[in-house]
Amino acid sequence: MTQSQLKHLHLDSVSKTYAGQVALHPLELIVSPGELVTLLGPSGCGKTTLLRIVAGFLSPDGGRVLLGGRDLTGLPARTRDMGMVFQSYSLFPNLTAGENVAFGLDVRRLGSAEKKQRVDELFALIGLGEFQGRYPAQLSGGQQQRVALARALAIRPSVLLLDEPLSALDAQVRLNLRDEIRRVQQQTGTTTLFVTHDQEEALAISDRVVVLNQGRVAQVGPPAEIYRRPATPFVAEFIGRSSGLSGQVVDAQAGLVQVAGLNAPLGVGRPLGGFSRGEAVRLYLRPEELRLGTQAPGSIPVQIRQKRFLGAVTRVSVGAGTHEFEIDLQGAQAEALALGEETHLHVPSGAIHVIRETVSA
Amino acid sequence: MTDTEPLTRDLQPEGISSSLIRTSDESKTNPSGARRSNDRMAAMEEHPALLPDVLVSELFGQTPPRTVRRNRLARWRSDPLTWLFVGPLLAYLIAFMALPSIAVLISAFRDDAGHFTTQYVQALTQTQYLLGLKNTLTLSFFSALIGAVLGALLAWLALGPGSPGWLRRPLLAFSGVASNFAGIPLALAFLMTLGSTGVVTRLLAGAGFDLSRTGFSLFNVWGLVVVYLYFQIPLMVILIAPALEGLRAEWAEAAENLGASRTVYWRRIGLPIIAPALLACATMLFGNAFATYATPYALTSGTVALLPLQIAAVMTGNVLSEPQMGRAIALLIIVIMLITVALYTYFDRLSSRWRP
Repeated sequence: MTQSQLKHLHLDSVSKTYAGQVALHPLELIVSPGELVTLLGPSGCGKTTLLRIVAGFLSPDGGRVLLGGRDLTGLPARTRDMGMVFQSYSLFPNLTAGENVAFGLDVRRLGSAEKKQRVDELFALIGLGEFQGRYPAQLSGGQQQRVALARALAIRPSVLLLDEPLSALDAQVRLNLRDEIRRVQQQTGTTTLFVTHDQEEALAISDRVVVLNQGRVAQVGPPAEIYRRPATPFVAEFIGRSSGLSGQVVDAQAGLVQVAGLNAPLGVGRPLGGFSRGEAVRLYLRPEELRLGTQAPGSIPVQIRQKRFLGAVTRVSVGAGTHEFEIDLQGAQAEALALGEETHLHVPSGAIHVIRETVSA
Repeated sequence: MTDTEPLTRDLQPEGISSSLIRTSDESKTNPSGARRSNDRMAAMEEHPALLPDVLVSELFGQTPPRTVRRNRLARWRSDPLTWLFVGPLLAYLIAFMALPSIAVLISAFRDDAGHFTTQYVQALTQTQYLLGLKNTLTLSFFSALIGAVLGALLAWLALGPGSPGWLRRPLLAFSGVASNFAGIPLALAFLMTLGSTGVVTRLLAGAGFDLSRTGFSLFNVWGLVVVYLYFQIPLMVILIAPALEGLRAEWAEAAENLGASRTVYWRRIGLPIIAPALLACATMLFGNAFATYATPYALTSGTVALLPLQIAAVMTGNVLSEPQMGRAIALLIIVIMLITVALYTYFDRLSSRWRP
């Protein structure tokens, strides 16, 4: 990666409206050189719209797209110096895999020796050296997406754009290719914007995740922060599994929250700075952080309602009055529990994440 | 000879559509099939040795081994359901295509007494038949060429990316009607508009433009080309629409993203992808024009030498009753059609190496 390619991408108050419907509210985002940022959100949240604005296939209604300080907003896609991998396999069917990868180099009129070297280099990078002569129809979905990745990287783009590149693939191929995309991205140091609706994919692959909801940024941060410290109820409920409870702060200093229907206040395990007594809050508890056991101070009496075998863990649903909690247990421990059995839920201090009820997006 | 136009036009769109669909993206038209294929691909990537040859050939587009082809054929032949559906079609093709063609071939080389002769085939070199061949080829070629170009452009503008969605249905509905509007009604319609006393001709004359001075006439080969375009263009729209809709927007976007202009995209990607379909449709238009009888007959009353009109003339005894001569001309038409189909097959095979 040459120095000239180390440019940061700046989306400056970018907005978009379709027929009176706001697809993107003014949005601010800076992607650092070499960083992989994922746009994550449910269908219709505006992530693909944003990516297409960056690529130059859509014009924003407001704001600017800047690359290394240069305003690209009015420029056509072909002059933006960006490589894109599409959701469906978009390799040119009439060209071989090798010709597909060389396409952008042909357009740039690269010398044949240099072109061959670059194509060979990229096929080695994606591990498909012997497939150069095959047509897309003779490749599997995973192989086609690898070639599409090589094609996008061939032109040494300043920014690599990936529009749900794994969504059309089978589960196992998706996992392998996900890791491969990350490896190739790190190896080439290409600044990357990755769009997905798959939270696991986003958490596994990204340096930072931008969670979008209804055209607004709900939260931006590293995957661990997004998972462990969601900023809004939407993020907490969209990312991973969690049991959500509504409550009121009874003692902010002691970190105590009263949940209607539970006998004793729940201890968050830390002072609730910024919260005041009586304030309405939402509590989120991740299933892997909760435990079941015998009665102990602070434990909640619960009844086993449902068990779902998920392979590595069994997800057990337990009820306490009108509240329901999900707990992930290892096989043997879950097998010992019977439906309807009375037991106690232990909520370790620090396992409860507290968000103001009024926080939107 | 009876007017065969409605029959041929009814059959042609169906006949060609299956080959055109092959140019569209398989995963789009048959996602489950594509997914199955991808599943098998993934399996093969992991355990190539476990998969049978037939699967390898399916997945990699290589010609299946002869034994595999034989087995497949045997399976096909032994399936009663196949015969239930394919049987009547085969019977129809044999009864109305193969047998008449063989009969034409044999009778073209027999005289009245049933003895072998080449006199009728040799008579095809006479001036009037050579002129008929030249006129028919000219009329068919240019009406097919212009019809294919204008029809494809119209279809692209109306059905391509960015075109208004509401236009699709009315355009295809109009094309369906117009492509079948041939024969006497079409001839009358053109006489009333572009004939020597037609509405448009008089309007132009009123505006100081004398159409006849340009050399234009409905009653020669070039006039017939104009008339034929009335059904050739809509027919092209119907035939090419599936192929154009199979051109995925992502291909154009991917090319643009890689720095290609629209010209480069069309030269290297768009046109090569739809070329087999364009060629197939143009071939179909050529055949359609070649066999058209009622329209030129109604317009020219046989004054323009065209092979279908010449067959009718010698078969009905309009000039001289010579059924064997008619069969010799029909044989010539069959040979030209076979050459056309062979050419199409050749070009089609060129692109088959990359098709799914």
